[in-house]
Amino acid sequence: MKFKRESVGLLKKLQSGIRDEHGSAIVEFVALAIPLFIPIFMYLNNFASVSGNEEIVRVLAREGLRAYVASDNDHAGREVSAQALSVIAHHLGLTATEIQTLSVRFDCSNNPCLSANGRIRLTISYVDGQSHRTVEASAQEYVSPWM
Amino acid sequence: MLNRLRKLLRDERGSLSVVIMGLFLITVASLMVMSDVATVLVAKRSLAQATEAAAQRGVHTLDKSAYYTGKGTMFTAPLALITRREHEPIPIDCNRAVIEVMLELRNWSNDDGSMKRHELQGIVLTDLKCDGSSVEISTYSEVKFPFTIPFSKMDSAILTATAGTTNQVQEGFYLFGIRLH
Repeated sequence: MKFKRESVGLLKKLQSGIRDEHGSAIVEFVALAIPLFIPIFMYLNNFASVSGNEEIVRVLAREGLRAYVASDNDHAGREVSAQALSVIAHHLGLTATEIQTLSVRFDCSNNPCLSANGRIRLTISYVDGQSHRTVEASAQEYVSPWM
Repeated sequence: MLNRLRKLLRDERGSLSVVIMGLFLITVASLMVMSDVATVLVAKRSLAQATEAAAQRGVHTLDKSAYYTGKGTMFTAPLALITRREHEPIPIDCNRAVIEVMLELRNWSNDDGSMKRHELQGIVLTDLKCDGSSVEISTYSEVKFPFTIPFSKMDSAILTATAGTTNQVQEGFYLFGIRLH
């Protein structure tokens, strides 16, 4: 009899607890805000990363090609370009792992590549450490006719 | 009925949902604008790069008739070295420079690879200043936004870029056009 009375009291307490609106705002906020806002933060993070990488790879393509085109000869050009890319990549905040994945390709209209009036296209890519996405950009320039 | 409506309006249950939905909409709208701004910034760099490349190509057009004037003897070069005479600026053939600049811009505009951002439309030459020794060009291009700006019909913007360049004589010892030192 006593046990029955106790269990009825507990049930009533539970019912009143459910009906009580104290703290309901927190539950509402968590239930609504988390599913809505978490995808937004994920998108924001990804988009910032993609935009940043795009900016970095374009700077690298441009500067790497300038260093090459302004060199005295083909061999020195490749050396200077590689060094410039490594230094610039470091300054732009790429990690050592990302710098290791840097890949550079020169497409030239003449042979040797650094010939007067020749067209050089540099394509550079690297793998982003966070998203493991390959970022690529190209730049094109003509070599001076009086080199 | 009216009393019921009044009671419903006074009832505060679910009021937070309205606030959250409102905030969510504002956040999404801001995100769309931010994405568009980021796209414009990256596209601007791409346009500046194309403009620079075009200016570089334009400045490489040598005006031969202006360059090969005067008399050069076996004494003029050593004398210039001894007296450290300033080099004359390399004359540019401005008519050919226009063609070369336009060709390079067309090259960049028609690129389907990674040279130009895909959001950038064709690059148009708006101005070319050539004074015979340097070239300055201005370009513009339309950039398409990934999202239409919320609460407006704006879905693109016009970007402009300007680049100028000149030639510089590279000191060295050349024999038959081959640099020896």
